[in-house]
Amino acid sequence: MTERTPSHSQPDDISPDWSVLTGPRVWVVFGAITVPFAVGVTDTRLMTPLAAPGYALMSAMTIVGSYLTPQYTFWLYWIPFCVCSYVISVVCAAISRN
Amino acid sequence: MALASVTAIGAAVGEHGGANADTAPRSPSPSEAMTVDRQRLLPGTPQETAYFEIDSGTDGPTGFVLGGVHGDEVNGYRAAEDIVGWELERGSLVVVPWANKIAVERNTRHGPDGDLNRKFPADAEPETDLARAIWELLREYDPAVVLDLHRSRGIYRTHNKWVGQTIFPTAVDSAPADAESAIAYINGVIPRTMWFHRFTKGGRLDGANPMVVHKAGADLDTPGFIVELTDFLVDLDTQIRWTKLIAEQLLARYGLERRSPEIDT
Ligand SMILES: [Zn+2]
Repeated sequence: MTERTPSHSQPDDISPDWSVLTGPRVWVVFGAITVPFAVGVTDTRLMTPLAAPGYALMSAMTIVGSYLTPQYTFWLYWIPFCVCSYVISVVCAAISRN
Repeated sequence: MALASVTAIGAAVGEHGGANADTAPRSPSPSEAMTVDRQRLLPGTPQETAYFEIDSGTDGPTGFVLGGVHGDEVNGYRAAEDIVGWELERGSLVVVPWANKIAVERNTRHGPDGDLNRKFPADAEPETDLARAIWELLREYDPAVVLDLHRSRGIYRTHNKWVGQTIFPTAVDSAPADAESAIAYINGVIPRTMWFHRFTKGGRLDGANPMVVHKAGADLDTPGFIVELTDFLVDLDTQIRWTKLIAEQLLARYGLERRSPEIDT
């Protein structure tokens, strides 16, 4: 009988670590960008300094967009705004881990 | 007199039907302290629309306020509806809340004759019955100041081609300085975070475009203002509140102070 070599679990670096994309850090940052801003949009009196990152991002996107694709209504920008906020959140979360 | 007019106003608004509740014309609530007289422009025609003369009973200037020239700019006619309910220290106001009534009822920018605010060429007759009726009313009252309340999709000199968050004065007397004064006031109200939403002063209206306030400045030498808000990131209640605060500031510059000014929160 040959002795069975002890099995090793797969090394960590082979299976992808999805927490980079979906971990709690990502959603904390995403919420920080989007929630205070979305609240401020429903009632301008609630547009606090916490809303500044979302406000700046949305303003920048629509300013550029108004020159590149003037036919689109600004409401459509909520979709790329959320995508952009998510990408920024992933980057911020990754940086904060290192 | 005032009380009888209040009843008539209810009837006037009852004529507007079909639009949804968010955008349909609403009955103004005039103050009992003012004499309010409801009249009609183009009576008996499909474009018939009400206007209101509210009189303080004390001698003073007359102001002229237009809302709903573009039927989908809800802030303008909601603000005008509320202005019908204001109490003035002196003088009087003539308010046409739903200037382009059919466009307001359809919630569209244009009425049956297209863009109402392109029918007022300087030094010439207005180009449609509705434009002529508005212009005749303006000439009849010969106001000290005229306001036309609008909104735009984007922000002037920030977004390409849009003109929001701007006050455009006529090139008459102190109108440009009065616009600056109202802008300084309203920028103190806008949340600091909303940096791009700070109001700016637009170019002077001198008759170069066929708009009613352009024409008032060029043909009648009347101080006047186009007030442009935006619906970009600004809820409707805030648009209406800011529109009224600006109207209040501008009218006060021409001796039309309110007895109890708007309180902003
Ligand atoms: Zn307009």
